[in-house]
This record gives sequence, C-alpha cells and structure tokens, in this order.
Amino acid sequence: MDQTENLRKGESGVREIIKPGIALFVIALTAAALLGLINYITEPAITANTLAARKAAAAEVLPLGPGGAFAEEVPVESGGGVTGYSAGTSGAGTVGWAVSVTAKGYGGDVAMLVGVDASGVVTGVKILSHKETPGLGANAAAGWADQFVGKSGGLTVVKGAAGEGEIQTITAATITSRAVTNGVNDVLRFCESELKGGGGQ
Amino acid sequence: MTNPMKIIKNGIWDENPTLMQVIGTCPTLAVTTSATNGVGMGITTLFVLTCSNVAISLLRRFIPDKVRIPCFVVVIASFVTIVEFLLKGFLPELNSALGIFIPLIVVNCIILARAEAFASKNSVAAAAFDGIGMGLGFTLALTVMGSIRELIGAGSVFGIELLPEAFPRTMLMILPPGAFLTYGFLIALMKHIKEKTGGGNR
Repeated sequence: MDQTENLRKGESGVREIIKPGIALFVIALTAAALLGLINYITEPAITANTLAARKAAAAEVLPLGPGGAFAEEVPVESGGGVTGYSAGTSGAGTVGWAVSVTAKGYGGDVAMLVGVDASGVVTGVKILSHKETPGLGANAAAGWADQFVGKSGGLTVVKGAAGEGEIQTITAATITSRAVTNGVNDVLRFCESELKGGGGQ
Repeated sequence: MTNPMKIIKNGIWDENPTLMQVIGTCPTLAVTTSATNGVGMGITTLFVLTCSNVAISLLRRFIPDKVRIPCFVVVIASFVTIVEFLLKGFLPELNSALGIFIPLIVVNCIILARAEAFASKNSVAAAAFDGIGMGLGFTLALTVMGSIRELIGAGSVFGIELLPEAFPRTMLMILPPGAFLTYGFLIALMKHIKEKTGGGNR
C-alpha cells in the first residue's frame, strides 16, 4: 500500500519536473528558430542600410560634387584613435578622405567621422555617437563641431575667442571639447603621415 | 475587468505604471531629459508592451506555472529582438528615431510586470487593451517629466524655445538629480490629486 503510494508520488514528481522542462524547451526552441529566420531575412537589408548611412555621413563631411564616389572603408589598426578611412574620388582624382575616429570623452567613447581634403584641411566633423552629459558635452554634436571646418595642422583648445589653429571650448565641457579636438588631430596626423603621400588610395 | 475603456483608464490613471505602480523607473529616469525623448520611449514601449501582452496571453494555457518567468523572459526578449531587426532592416527612418529606445525596453520591467500580473491571467483582447492603457499611461508620464525637465533645464519644450534668453537655465534638471526631483514631485502631486478626489481610498 505504502509502496505503491510512494511510487505514484515519485512518478508524479518526476512528471512535474519534466513537463515544465519540455514546455520551456519548446518555447526556447521556437524562439531561437524564429530569431534565426528573422535574422536571415533582415540581415542583407540591415547591412545595406548601414552602408548607405555611412556613405551619407561621409558625403556630409566631405562634399565630392557630382560624379564623386567613396571607396570601401579601409580598417586601420594603429593610428591613434583612427579606426578606418574611406577615400573619396571624383573625376579629377582623390578629393580627400572620410576618416572614422574614436576619442575618449567625459562619459565614454565619442565616435566621429572627419572629412579631410587632399591638402589636409578639415572639411567637416560629424559626431556619430557619444555618451556625453546632456546640456553640456552633448552640445558638441549640435553645431559646435562646425568650427573645425577649414582648419588644419595641430589644433589646440582655448577658452574664449579662438584664433588660427585654435578651437573654442564648449562652456563647462572642456573634457568633451578636448576629446573631439584630439580626435580631429589624430585624423589630421594620420592623413599627413599615411594618406597624403599617396600611400592610401 | 473586460470593459476596454475601463482597462485603458486604469492604465492611464488609476494604476499609472510610472506614477502609481512605480515600475519601469530605470528608463523613466534615464531618457526624460527632453519631451521628445519621453514621447519616443513611451510610444516604443506602448507598441512592444501591447504585442508582448498579446503573445503572453495567447501562450498562457501552454506555459506551465512553475517555469512561467523564464518563459516570459524568452518570449519578451525574442519579441523585442525581432522588432529591432525588422525596424533596422525595413524602416530605417523610424529606427533612427526610436531605435535607441529599443535596447532599453528589454530591461524595462513594465513589460514583465504586465505579463505576470495581467496578460497571463486574461483574454487576448483584455491583454491588448491593458498594453495600450499602460503604454499610454507610461507615455503621458514620461512626456510630462521630459517637458518639465527640458523647460527648466534648457528653456524649451519639444525643442521649441519658451523661456526668454535672459532666464537662467538650471542645468541640474537635465542631469540625473533632476530626474529624481521631478519624479518625486510628480508622484506627490498625483497622490495629492487622488486624495482630494477621493480616489486614493477606494
């Protein structure tokens, strides 16, 4: 009597463990299959969109004019914060480069795209992503970086009016201002040593 | 609790997820630096919450009680990821506006809380209305918080300058402490209104 009851209890106990286990397994399996399927469907579209967004950003920092095109981005391993560059060409040859660079900001990495023309002058700076303080450092992404346009050589950060080769800081966000300027300097140095001599195409 | 209007009103007012239930506080405090951010986070959550409520409600007879939490987590996480992939792949414009909020939704406990407290015990239609109501309540609360913080901190609402140039901007309100201050005052205000109207001692 006792034995059969124990046996029954044991059986139902095992079933109580196995049944939910199977249900969870089925749900996880379905979810994984669904995710795989969706990934398979959307991956080409996502890659195309990312590329298109990069090209659009590159065209923003380095205007090429009609008939211009950007080459595939070439990854860079050691160039300060520089992570890659893409040469922009028009009918007349290389116009300049759109260079990806990462700088250390106040809140984390600041990812930027810097346009430099063939003579080593900045044509545009676009901040792609950042984690700077809203209302302070984040202002760098809103128009502040436009003052880099037309500058070249090594740039320094100053408080107050900026002269030749100088960049005016954002009020109360010196670290962010310095980070962005350092990033641009890295790019200029990289262009000078690696690209301008015709080393990079 | 099957009257759709009643369920929706419950989400917006009686049991407002942000101000009454005090759930989903992490995205609430983090993204409400501007009114636009509040609306964006709110709308994204509204959509995901409604869909995940429906999914959980559909599966409620299949999901065993003992392992319901891991099941909810798997369903919700897969669901959010699918939405993210689809947005990135086929609606890049919408993705650039709302995409940054999607990873925050995975960690938003409103989704799990509603799955556990409502969707797993109610019909599909009721669960959908609960998602809409809670989503609207969340959106409203975040928009109000974002507007207050943006107005005092940056002098604007939805990016439109409202305060005169000479009026000092209180940067504190856009920084994390401002989130807690605004949140606290809003909860106090909500409690006050409820007590005045007798809604507090139902």
